[in-house]
Amino acid sequence: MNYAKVNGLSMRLKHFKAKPSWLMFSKNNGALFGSIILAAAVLLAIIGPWIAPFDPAQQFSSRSFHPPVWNQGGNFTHFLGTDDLGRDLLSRLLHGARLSLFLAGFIVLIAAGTGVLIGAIAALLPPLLRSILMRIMDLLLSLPSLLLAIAVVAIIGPGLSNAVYAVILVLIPQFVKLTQNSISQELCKDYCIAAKLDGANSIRLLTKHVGPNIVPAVIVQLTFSFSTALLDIAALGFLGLGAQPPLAEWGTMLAESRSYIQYAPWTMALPGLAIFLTILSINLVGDGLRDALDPQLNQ
Amino acid sequence: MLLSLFRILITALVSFLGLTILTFGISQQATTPLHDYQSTHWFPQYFEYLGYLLTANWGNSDLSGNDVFTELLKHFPASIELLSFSLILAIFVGLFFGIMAAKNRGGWLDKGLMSATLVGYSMPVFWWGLLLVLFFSLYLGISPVAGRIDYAYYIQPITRFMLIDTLISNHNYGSAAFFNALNHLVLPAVTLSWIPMAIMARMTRSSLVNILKFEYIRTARSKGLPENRIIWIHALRNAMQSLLTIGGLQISILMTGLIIAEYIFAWPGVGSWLLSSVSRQDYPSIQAGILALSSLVILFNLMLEIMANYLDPRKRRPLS
Amino acid sequence: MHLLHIENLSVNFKTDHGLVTAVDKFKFKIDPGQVIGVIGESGSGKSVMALAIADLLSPSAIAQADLFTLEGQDLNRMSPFERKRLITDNISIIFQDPTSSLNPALTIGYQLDETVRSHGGGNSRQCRDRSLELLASVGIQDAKRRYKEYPHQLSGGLNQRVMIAMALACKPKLLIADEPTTSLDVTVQSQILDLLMQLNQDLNMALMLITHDFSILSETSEKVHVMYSGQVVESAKTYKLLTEPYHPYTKALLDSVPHFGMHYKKGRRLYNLPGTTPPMRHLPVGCNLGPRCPYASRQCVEMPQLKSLHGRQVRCHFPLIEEAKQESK
Repeated sequence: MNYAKVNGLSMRLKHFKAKPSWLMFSKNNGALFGSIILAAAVLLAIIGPWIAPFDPAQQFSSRSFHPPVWNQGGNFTHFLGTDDLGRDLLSRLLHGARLSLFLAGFIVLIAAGTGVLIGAIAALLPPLLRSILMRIMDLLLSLPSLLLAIAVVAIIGPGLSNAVYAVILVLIPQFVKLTQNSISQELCKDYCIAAKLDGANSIRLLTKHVGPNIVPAVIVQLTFSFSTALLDIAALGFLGLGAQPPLAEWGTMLAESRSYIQYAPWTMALPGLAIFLTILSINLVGDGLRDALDPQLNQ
Repeated sequence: MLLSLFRILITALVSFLGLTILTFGISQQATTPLHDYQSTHWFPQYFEYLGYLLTANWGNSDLSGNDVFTELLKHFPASIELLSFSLILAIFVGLFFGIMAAKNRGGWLDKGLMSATLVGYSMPVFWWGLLLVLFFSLYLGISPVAGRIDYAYYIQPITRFMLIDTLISNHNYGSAAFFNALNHLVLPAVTLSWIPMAIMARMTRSSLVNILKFEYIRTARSKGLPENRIIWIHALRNAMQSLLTIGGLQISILMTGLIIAEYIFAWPGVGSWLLSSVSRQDYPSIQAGILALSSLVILFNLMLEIMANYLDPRKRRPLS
Repeated sequence: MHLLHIENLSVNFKTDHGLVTAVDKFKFKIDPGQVIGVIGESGSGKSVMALAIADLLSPSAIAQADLFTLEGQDLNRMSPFERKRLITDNISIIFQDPTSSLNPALTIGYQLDETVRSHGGGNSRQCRDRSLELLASVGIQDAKRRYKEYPHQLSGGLNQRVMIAMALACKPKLLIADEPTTSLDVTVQSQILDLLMQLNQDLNMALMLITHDFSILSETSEKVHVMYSGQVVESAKTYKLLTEPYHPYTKALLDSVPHFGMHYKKGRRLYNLPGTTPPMRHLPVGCNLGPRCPYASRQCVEMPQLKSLHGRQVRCHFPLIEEAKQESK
């Protein structure tokens, strides 16, 4: 209870408490829905290969285009049906989940680590060098990420690992720019000036004082970059520049299904739905995180 | 005003130069050198390369041996046609829905529209395109699957903009040719404008809702102005500035969509040409495609900046 | 018949914590040509009250009044559209920060013209002439040049003059000035106040002057309402209130104003009320001033009502005069 004591009198004040940010996040229905789907997707990505009923590459040549269970002629052996070569779609989707989510996570972590490091170094550089570096980053940011990834793939050749390198390269500038911007904004604030007057050197200033204050912005950027990474890998796979056909990757599966969309629409609908739901959930979680962690970013 | 205009132009020029370094790198991959360079070191070669670019000498294709620049010009109008049609669709429909949502903020229309746009901007373009083909072309049969016009029509290319050519060139199909071309355009345009449209609607709504809290809106209300005038003139005029600054993002997304939509709908534009060049490892053509599409992005950003500069009176220098 | 007569105006806001009362049973009367002041700290509900009278509250607010008449017409019985029409034709309002109250993307002239036009100003030529005339009437010298300029090119004082000119466009019977001088420099403050008083006399326009500064009211208004956390705690003739405050809050406000010139006493300490204004969503039990009041006692856990005393009204169990104390017992 909160009492205000004046002149020996105590009067009860109606109680009020500010909401912590996790509560704000959990109150956001969209974010809650998104995190449930995302948690399910991550869980499936982890245990998927063990619960998958078949090997993703195993071909049941007699059972090609077996419809999913809710269609006429479907049965529980192939719950989500089979594709043109008679491969079990559920198994392929589960393996694809691991591939897509793990790759996207890997890409984002590498890109964020490199980007934040470059951004922090950039903040310490002399102004001229910094502005040259930032101009380059601006150029890379202004170009569409897929176009840039295509350019990189064009130079180093198509394939899944090259696509991964390309997407990492494309994502780095976002983190560099974000880190450098937030650091230079923070450095102008009074607490940094106070720390400098206190004798903190620039390394200590960045790690001890500025660092914790840019973490929320980086986390929000992480979620959005995660969805970009997932989408770009799938898009490169779809365009035939990323993962190559026998591999069970969502974008590649979509590309393979293109010729049969009228005859076997489920082979197109299901991988796309998997990509869509994952992207939707990441965006919902990202929006929720942004609102909860950093209200200023919302404006 | 002139000074800031100058700064914008310089920034765009620097971006373009940075871009040419990238494409110069790509052109170095070609099996036979693109140009007869005088010097042997790559650094002076780069400046020679710039000179060749400016004189429209972009090298010859590794495979066909054709001049890349003429090839590019053949594909460019198709892309521009699709892009501009989609851009107009995205901007106007997005603005309209954003304004509707802002006017009914908190109401069911607002909530419905915002949920729809959330779904919209999470939609992978390549899946969305396939879904549209499945529904409109294969299920309903009202829209063609691919190309710019049916093979039954032969249209003499004049401007290479199919909509214009069907109108001005000499043929005896009447208006049927024009509507056939338009029908081919709709599905790819919807595919690639979907995400920018959703983002446009969300951004319009959020910046309008934000601006409607400002004090000058309260002043406008106190003057007894009608709500429509307050939104369309007082709020939108100020929202435009923030919308223009996110416009650069829109063109990026639109360009990504363009490449994918051209691929799905076999649209004979720069995007599909670029993709087939990548799979054929035809580096001179890759270089040209990337240079063209990226220059388009830079040009578009430049236009946006100039417009933003013009719209914001605070950025203008006082005349007196 | 009063120009504006309001009885028991209450404004509630719908929030996540339920209804929050911002203005509680506000009573107000004003006659043509009269100047009445409303004083209170920030957050006392005085601006919300002004917005409620001008029909400018956000949709999350619910305003109700037992009686609300303007020029003898009952606004409670009108459709929202008719009410809006009547209010905008008769009441104008100007705000604290003139520069952010004008649209930054439109010229002064455009904003004036559209106001004139919406009040039946005729064709664009006539509107322009009327706008220039209005600019001149609020003492802007080079009206023709200012007409073409944007708000950011003008100083705060000039912008406030433009706001006043815009407010005059509808020939209002009542002008509500919500802290019209707070964001201006001191010398400009007195210019703006002089202008307001001059317009009040020349046009016989009633003026409701909302402020947190007694020095503004002392020379201008006939009557003053003192507000504290959404309630009127005391209303009286300005002279009486300034010389003999009945309510502890009014006294505290007056004691915290520095004195200059002949009233200056060396070594005198300025008074400050302990604590801060309570947020509207957790008011104390009983009298709102209770926990901060130096005169509070057991009885103050009950909410005091507004009582008439010697021709003024005060909301306190223990008004600060001996006779009044005896009468209330």
